[in-house]
Amino acid sequence: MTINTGWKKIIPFMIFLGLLSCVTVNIYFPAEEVRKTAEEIVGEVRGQAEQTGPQSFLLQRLFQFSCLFAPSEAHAQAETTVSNGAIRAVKERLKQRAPQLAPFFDQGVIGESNNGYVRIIASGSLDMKQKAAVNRLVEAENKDRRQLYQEIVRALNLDSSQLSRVESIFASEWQQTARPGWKIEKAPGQWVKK
Amino acid sequence: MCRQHSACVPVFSTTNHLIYTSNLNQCRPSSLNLSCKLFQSGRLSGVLRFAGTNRRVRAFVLFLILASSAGWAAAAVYGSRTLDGGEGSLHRSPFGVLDDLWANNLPIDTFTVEQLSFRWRALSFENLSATVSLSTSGKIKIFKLTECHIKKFVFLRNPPSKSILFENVTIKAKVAWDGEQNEVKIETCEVNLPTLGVLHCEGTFRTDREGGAGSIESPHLKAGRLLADLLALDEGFSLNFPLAARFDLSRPTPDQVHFEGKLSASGVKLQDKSFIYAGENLSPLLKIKGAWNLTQERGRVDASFSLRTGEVLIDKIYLDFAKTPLTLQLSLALDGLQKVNIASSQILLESIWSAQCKGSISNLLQMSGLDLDFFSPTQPIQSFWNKLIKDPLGEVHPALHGTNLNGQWGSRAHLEGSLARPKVRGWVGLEEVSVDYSGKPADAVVINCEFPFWFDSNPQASSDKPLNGRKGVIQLDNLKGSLLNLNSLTLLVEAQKNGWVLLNDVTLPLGKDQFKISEFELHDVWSPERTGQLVILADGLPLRPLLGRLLDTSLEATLTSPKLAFRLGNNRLESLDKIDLDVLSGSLRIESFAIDRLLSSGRVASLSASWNDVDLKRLTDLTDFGEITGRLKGVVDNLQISYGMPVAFDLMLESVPRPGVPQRISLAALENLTALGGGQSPFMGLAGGLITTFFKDFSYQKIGIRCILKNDFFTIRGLIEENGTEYLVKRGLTGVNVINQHTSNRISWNDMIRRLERINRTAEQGGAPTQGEEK
Repeated sequence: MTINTGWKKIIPFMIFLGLLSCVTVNIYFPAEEVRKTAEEIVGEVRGQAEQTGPQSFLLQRLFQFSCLFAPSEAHAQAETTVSNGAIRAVKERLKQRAPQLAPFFDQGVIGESNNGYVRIIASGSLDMKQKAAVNRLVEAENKDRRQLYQEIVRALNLDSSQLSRVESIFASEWQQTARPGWKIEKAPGQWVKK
Repeated sequence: MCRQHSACVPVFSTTNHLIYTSNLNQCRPSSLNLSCKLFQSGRLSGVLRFAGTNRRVRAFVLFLILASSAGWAAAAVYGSRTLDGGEGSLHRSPFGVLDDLWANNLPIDTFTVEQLSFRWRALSFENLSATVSLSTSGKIKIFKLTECHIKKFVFLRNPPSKSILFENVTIKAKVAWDGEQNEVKIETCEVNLPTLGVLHCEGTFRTDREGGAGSIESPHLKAGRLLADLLALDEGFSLNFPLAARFDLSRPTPDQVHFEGKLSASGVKLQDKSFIYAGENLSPLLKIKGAWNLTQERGRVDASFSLRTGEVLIDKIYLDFAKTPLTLQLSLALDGLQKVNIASSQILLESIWSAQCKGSISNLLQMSGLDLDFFSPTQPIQSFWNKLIKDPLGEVHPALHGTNLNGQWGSRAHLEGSLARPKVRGWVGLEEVSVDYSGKPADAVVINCEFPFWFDSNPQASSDKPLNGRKGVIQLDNLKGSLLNLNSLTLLVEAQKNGWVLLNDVTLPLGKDQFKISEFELHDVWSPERTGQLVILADGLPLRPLLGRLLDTSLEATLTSPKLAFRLGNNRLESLDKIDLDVLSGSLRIESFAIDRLLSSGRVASLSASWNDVDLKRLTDLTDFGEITGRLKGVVDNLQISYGMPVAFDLMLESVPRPGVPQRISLAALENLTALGGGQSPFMGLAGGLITTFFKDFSYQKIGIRCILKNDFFTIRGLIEENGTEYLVKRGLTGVNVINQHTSNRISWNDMIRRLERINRTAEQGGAPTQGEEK
């Protein structure tokens, strides 16, 4: 049997393509949807969701006018964020705990890590009872955050291996909304004051 | 020196100077490994021959270097067993060697040791250099160890335990040896371990018979690092405290050594880098007293430990020892250094918890061969609950916050196997323990029980002697819940290996009726693969009280399935049978009911259901939505409920014409339906006003609605489609059509809640909303 020289050149390429087609890797990750969701949830937890329009009379009028041309908030939300009863319930718990955590963020006792969770950085300035309180708060907070990320992964029908990507997107959002003076972890183990 | 090995002969020799290399380990594999240069200032060859062949002389060298510390000797024997299983024993003490040495009448006055490296069991010495001078005062020979320097002194331990290293150790000692009296007197001995501190030793011992005493003391040891190494704590674990230590040793008979010691510290501060553990101002005090038989290799130890000041944080548990002192009493008998019989031990965390332990451990180092009985006597439960459960875990499990316990509790457990693979069987007893959630003691449930448990870390292993499960009783009194209301409930349970089985049928009331739990089993409860089974007999049970509680409605429903069987597996509880109910003159079938992630706070209940011939009038009468008459069939697919709220569903509702059943929809219902869908009221303007004046309800031909909740958005669609128009309600000969004009309209969760609230408010005010609101 003889094979045309031109075909001979193509065969390895086809074999390569054939092999490639055997390996199907699902790389879909709705990064923008998760980012918008993180923005919305973190903003609400940190008390920034109520921020609506500008306060001055003239700017208010301009803002209302511009809204005529912009899609409604509900519509935007529908396209880009994910939510359900479980996510709302966890979000509510995070909201309720946020004021308790804030003083410890202010004191630099805890900080926003680069993996989406709160971490204790230095509790030396606290007495033992406060240390216990911080340990309990941080564990409860991180348990809820983990629950939130898992719910988002489930709601988006993602593989559980994508959890770390959701955590990472949220980490960035938690850090962005941290108040000035709060500690954030830029790189593993590298904490800076915002 | 060994004559059988060429490696042991001198390699270079002059009259006054000899360089000697020997590997004694080749001669005696389990003994000293020596490589050194000796510089002789007297006649040395006899000494070397003696030293090379006599094990006891080698021990004497060690004895001198380590200043006869029984503590070190014990550590060496302990270490040797952990490391290589050697046969170290305390009765081979170096004391007896002195006769031989004396008999040889050593002619040395000074000798110097350089670059001596050797290992004796678990103790390794590297680069030891020392000068020992020998002088005579009458019959007394005085050894003076000056400028002894050990570059590395290591206490070797088996991996993964880290070996303990001391660098640049220096020793100074003066030992007087009275040959006539057969007495060795350590006049001074100072061991300086740079990272730990200085140990002072002194004492007098008889070499031929009983008698003598000695002591090791240090007022200020920096023991934090050593303790961290011994306990294999993380590098980042900060543990700094000064430790005062004193051990006294005596030898009342030739084969008996008595010891008594005390270790104390104050102002102990500890903190790990992950902030899980912390302690401040702790003042631990450890007292040890005991005896060791050198011949029989047996001994006894009595120890007590107390912590009466300071605070500690162990993960989320906070304890203030000034308020709740911790004491530990221990009395044990040692058979060799492997087997331990715990005659008695008691731990007391004052006003919180106390427990006792007795039994034996056949392999102390591996913590295996355990045969231990733990007993926690009857004691108040309140502080235990508050300090060790409610306070630490309340933040993570909010349900614990409002739970108050009062009464007495106790427990007993038997532990066998090893710490790595334990088997525990026992029970927890509660006596008149009242549990209230609301802060109203009068409403408290009272529990009396002896609740058995059986944990086996190796559930597959078959026992030589098959064990029966332990049976127990749980008695609950004064159950005054909104669902369960009964004076007394008794549960008979049996703890089987890693599980429980309910032994009796349990009849529970629901409203005026009752249902029966006929089977309840849990297996492998300690593993994530736990399984179980639950069978409920509830044929003909009215569910109105249950639905009233869950849905805040007085919906009439009666269970018609004779048996409800549920299976637990993969953290999911699922119904094995279809659940049939009679609902409002119709029938309802629940299929694939399940609760996923049962033990998580984010558990999700899911089900699919279908119903037929439900009386719409009776259904709408239950709400303020407005009256609709007729019959209804419908399906809800994949309804998911989490945190008490619906997460997703796909609902289809359709009216079914039945002969003799009028199909009418009220004005309020029409308006509410329109408002819910986001449309404007059909009765606006003059004409609308006239219609509402004369008509309060309208006939309809069909109602067909599909409602989908997904990702917090509702989609409402009409199921009736004619000529490209989608109807939610199709009118009869007269009446009003409700048309879905925005087929792609989606209503956010929050908006839907607002609409429902508005409908509710309007109904309370006695009217219908005049205008729907579109988002």
